[in-house]
Amino acid sequence: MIVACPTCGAGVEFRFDDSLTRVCDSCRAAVLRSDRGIESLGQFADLAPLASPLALFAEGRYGGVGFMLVGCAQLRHPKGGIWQEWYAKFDSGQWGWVSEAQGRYYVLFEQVASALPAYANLEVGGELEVAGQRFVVAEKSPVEYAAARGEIPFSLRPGSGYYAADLSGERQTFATLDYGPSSQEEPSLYVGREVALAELALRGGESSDVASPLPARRIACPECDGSIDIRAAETERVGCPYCGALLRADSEVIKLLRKQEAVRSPIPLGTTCRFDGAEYVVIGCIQRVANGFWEFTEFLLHNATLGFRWLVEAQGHWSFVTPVSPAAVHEIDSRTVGYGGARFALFENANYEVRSVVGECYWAVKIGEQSSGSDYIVPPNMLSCERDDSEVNWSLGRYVSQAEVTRAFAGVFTPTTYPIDVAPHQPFLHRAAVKWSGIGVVVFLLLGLVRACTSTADRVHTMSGRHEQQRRVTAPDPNKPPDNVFFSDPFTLKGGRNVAIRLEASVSNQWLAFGGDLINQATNEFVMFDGEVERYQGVTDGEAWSEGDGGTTVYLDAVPPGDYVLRLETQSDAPQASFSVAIKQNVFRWKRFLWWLAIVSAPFVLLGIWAFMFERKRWSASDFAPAHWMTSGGGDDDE
Amino acid sequence: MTNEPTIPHRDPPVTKAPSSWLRFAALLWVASGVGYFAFTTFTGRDGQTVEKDSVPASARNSPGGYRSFHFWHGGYHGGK
Repeated sequence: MIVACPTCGAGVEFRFDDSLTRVCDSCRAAVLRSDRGIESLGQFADLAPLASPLALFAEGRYGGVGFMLVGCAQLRHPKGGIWQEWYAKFDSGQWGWVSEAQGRYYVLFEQVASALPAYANLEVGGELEVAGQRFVVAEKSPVEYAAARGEIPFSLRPGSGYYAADLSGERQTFATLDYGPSSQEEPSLYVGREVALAELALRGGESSDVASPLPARRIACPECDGSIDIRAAETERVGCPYCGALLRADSEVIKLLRKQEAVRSPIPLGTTCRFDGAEYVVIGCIQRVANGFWEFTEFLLHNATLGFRWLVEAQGHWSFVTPVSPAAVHEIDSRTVGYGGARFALFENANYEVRSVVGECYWAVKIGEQSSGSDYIVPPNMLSCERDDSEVNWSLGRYVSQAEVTRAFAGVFTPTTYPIDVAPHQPFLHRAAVKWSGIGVVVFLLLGLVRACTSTADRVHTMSGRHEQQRRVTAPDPNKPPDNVFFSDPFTLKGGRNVAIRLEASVSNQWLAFGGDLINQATNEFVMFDGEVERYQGVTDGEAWSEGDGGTTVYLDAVPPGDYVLRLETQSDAPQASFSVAIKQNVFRWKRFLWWLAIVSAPFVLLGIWAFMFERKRWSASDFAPAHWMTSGGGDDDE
Repeated sequence: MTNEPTIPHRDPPVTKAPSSWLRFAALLWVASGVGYFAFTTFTGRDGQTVEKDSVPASARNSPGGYRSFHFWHGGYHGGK
């Protein structure tokens, strides 16, 4: 159906029976057709030059059904920032909405639903169930139509707006509630999901008569005339790197918003870096302060296909930060949230303030802008939440070492600030060593327990004798055993078991030394050993003392099984000393076990102490330290 | 118009903490200690180091010869 534009008279074609508004290609008038006839609703401004792979009359496929993009509108957020909404006519006759914002694409369809919440009852960050799915309210705010083109399935008046709420769901699902010009109205529900551009299989479309923006454009600062590169199409604000002026850069006309002291970005703007296999360009630098004290710097990174990321530096510690869907985070209790299968513990609540802006920023940032947020940690991860009345944003920061930052910039930039203290999400690198050495200690203890339980301490043989000092009047007979040499009766020893020989002697302030031989009766091989028994006691300055217990045990390795005889030769300074000998096998040596326990557990103990001190230092900066990490100067449990 | 594929934003996974070389050193230390203790304790080889020898043939061939052979220990042993 072709009608004459009520404003300029040019031909305006309505290609579809159920479209209501058509933007005149000649004068940008919004032509509405209704049962009252054709009327003009006003004129739209020209579309802002946003880089987009979508174009009017491009064809594609989604869910196996073909579609054509027949209309487009640009909407403006109250904080600045523009996104595009494309109207897709499907071959099935259905209308779909393709939303495009910051490099992300969403396909939504209108869905009939009842019992939708009122706008006033929506809580940013709160959960709700819509159309049988769980969503989190990511944002609620009024939005305004800035420009439009093509054919639109509803009545669209230039300059109009509506109240909307964006809902983030699990597994990239997405929904919006559109409340119309008044927040009191019943909302319309649109449900869909985020898609990859390749999924839409777009082809064709008009070559846009909107000036195709270059991937990067150059502007002149109105204050100092300095040349500034704008690399991201979504850039709303620019801090002049030469004079510090904060500029509005969301249109062709660059406006001065505020002067600030010129600040240099520590990382030169335009520098490329590589994180997680993707290349980014550093396009902006924002310096902020937390709780009026902790300064940190956020470098805005841009990738044309992946969108925006952040590289944050605080006290010499670095994090690579990626935005996450609010629906991916769920609250477990007042100090714990869950994300990605992990439980994040609350580390701090903070109030943030922007101190300076250099380079680009994709929202209408202001100097002195304040927000509040919370940080939750599972080292090396930090889940951060920033919220205000209209939106909540979650992001996941990954701790990166200074060495990794240097590698990411291929040596072009090297951090120079030495890390101070322990960052909230700084990982303790030796945690695995503590774990494995701890497991080893447990295994060792179990081993000892098993050995102790299986140790039978079998008594094999006993003998006794009496050492006597001999007064020689004749030379010793070489054919007789020497004096004070004693032989036991034969006894049997089993193989594979240690041998414990316990000798006790009745000495008092004397010693008795012995040399022993365990002789195998069959092979005549023998094992030699020796030892000493002593006992000394007395009273010195009225205090009794004693030394030695009059006994000693010698442990021998397992010997071949068989019959053995023990030969014992004694020497003593006592004129006479009785002694007894007990031979046992399969004895558990407690002292040896404890010595080896000390050796085996040394890494666990040392690393455990190190880990304890590390964690204590980490949590000393938190107001929400778990009780066992509280230091004497720790913060309050401030909820 | 380009159809350059855009990667849909997938929420990043939770990163595991990196490990240092110390875990290998700790594992080696502990495994060596546990292994050595287990081997010596369960095979009866946990005694002190002692000297071994054989009774010489001449003494061996005479009945009870080891009882009188004068190569045994001699001399002073310990004491204060």
